This record gives sequence, structure tokens and C-alpha cells, in this order.
Amino acid sequence: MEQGEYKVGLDTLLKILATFDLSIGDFFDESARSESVVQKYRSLSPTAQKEVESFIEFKRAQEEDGSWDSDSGESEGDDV
Amino acid sequence: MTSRIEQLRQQALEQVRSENFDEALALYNEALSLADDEEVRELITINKGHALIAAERTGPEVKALPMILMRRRNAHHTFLSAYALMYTHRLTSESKRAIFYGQIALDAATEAQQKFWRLAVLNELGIIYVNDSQFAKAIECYEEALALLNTIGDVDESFSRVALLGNLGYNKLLVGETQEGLRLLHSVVDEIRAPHGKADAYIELCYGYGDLEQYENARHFGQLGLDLACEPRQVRNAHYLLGEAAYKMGDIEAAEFHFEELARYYPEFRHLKSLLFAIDLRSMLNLKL
Repeated sequence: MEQGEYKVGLDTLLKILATFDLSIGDFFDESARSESVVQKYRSLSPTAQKEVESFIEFKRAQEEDGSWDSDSGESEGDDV
Repeated sequence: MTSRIEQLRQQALEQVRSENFDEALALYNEALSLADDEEVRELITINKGHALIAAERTGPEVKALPMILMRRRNAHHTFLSAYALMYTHRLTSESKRAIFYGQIALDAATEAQQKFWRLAVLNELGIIYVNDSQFAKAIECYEEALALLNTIGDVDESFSRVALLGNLGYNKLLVGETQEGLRLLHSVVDEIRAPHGKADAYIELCYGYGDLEQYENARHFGQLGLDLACEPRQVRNAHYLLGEAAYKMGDIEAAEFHFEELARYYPEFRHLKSLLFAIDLRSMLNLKL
């Protein structure tokens, strides 16, 4: 072996990759989901897109603050 | 060696060349039954070991080869036994051992000043180095073999030259000397007579043109390779490279077809086609394996 580069036959390579098939499947499912979300976003009007962006920022700020319980949909200690 | 024993041995060697292994083994057995001399018996044992290995079988004669090699009775027997052991370890993909025995065979050939022996070992060692991803060493072997061939005059060596140049061409592709590799492959592809060898050369041309991003050429030679493909390895390689070239050209329909054909070999690999569309595997690939 030279320069750390080892080449294998296609059959061997695909059999190795087949052992990761499940995680590859997760990867492609996730990719498909992300693509779908992006497509939906792009189909919105510019104003609606801004609202989505603002909402994402709002959710990010809540999660970074750490006081948000995502299961309950309410912040802890919220006395309103 | 008596003339009768030598006659049987020569007949057996001829039968091995014709791949009539059972006939060859019977002739060797007869020769062994007549031979008293230890040196003669050793030579016939090595020859029979060769025949068994070529027939992809085993037997006491194959198992005796390491002992015969250690005995080093003479350069001829050392060469023959080391060569047989190199060959059998190549078949079982034990590259390190194959290279070890190959070096012994090479030294014995040099000691005996036998150019043809040296030529045969260099070609085998080249194949083993390629299988072990030692491409620079494989190139050294093929270049030395070709230089040696030029010193042997007036022999029918066209096949050896074609095989050596083809092998050298493929290795040049693997080390990034793509133009030179393609030039060498083109110089011999029309001279290759056997469909199996021709299919390999076409598929390698497809690979090389893919490297140059000349996908029309890649698809042309890939298709020629696929049409002549004789074994599953060649069919898989051709479909993969054709799919990749089609994808790079934006011909998604053709890429789908070739990747689906490849995926038929791996029914349990559910996401194979998606993977092939996402990742280029070419840099990890050795078409000879």
C-alpha cells in the first residue's frame, strides 16, 4: 500500500457499504425531509418567509435559554 | 532422466497448457511410478503441484512445495516451487506471502540467467502488487518486464507484450498518469483477442476517460466493455462506471438504468442506488479485483 491509499474491488466495497445500509437509509430519509421543508419554505411569499425566519429565531432563542420544555409547549415557571 | 519419463513429463506439461488437468495428473503419476532418482522425482512433484494449483485443487504435491523450496536443490527447482507458491498465494489473496515467494522466484531466475523465467515472475508480481494497491511497484515490474522483452529477440512474444502494456496502462491510470495510461491501453486494445481481456481493456478506458471528464468517450468504451463482459466483476464495473458517466453528463435516466442493474446484484442493499447518486466511489475502486 502506498500513500495510505488502498483500493478494493467494487463487490467488496459495496458489501462493506451494505453493512451501513440502515444508517445510510436514515441519512437519505433525513435528506429527503430537509429537502421537503426547504421546498415548502420557498413556496411561501416573501412576507411569510420572514415570519418563518422570525419564528425559527424565536424557537432558537427559547432553546438556548434552556427554560423551554419542548414536550409541554410551555416554559417552566411561566406564571401567566 | 530416462527418455520415457521425460516424454511423459512433456506430455503432461502439454496437457496442463491445454487445461486437460486430469490427463496431465495421470501422466505425472505414471512418470512418478517410473522415476527412481530423487532429483527427477522432485521435478515431477513440482510439476504435478503446478497442475493441481492450476486446476484449483490441492494434494500432497502442493503441500510438499515449501519443503522442496527450502531444500534448494538447484535454481530450476527453487524457481519452479517458489513460482507455484507465489501463484497459489495470489489466488487466495495472500499478497504478502505471494510477494515473498515471488522475490525468491525472481532471484532464482536471475541466478539461472533465465530471461523467460524472470519475465513470468515480473508479470505475476505486477498483478500481485496491483491487488495489494502497490501501484508504483507494479509499474516497476511491468516496465522491467517490457525492457527485458526487448532484449529477447526473434520470439513469438506478442501476447506477453500486449498483456504487459495493458497492465502497465491500467496502473498508469491508477497513479494519475491518465493520458499515458490511455495511450498504452489504446496501443494494445485492438490486438487483444480474448473477449475477457478485451472487456477489461475497454472498461479501463471507460475509467480513464471518466478521470479526464470526457464522458462521451467513457460511455462509448464502457458500453463496448459491457457488451463483451464475461464475468460478474466486469458486468458490475461496467454498469457502475457507465452509471457514473451518465450521471455526470446529466443523463439521469441512463444513470438510473445502470445503477439499477448494479443494484440487482445486491438485493439486500436497499439504498444502494441513492448512495451511488450521492457518492463517487471511483477513487476507492480497483477494477481488477
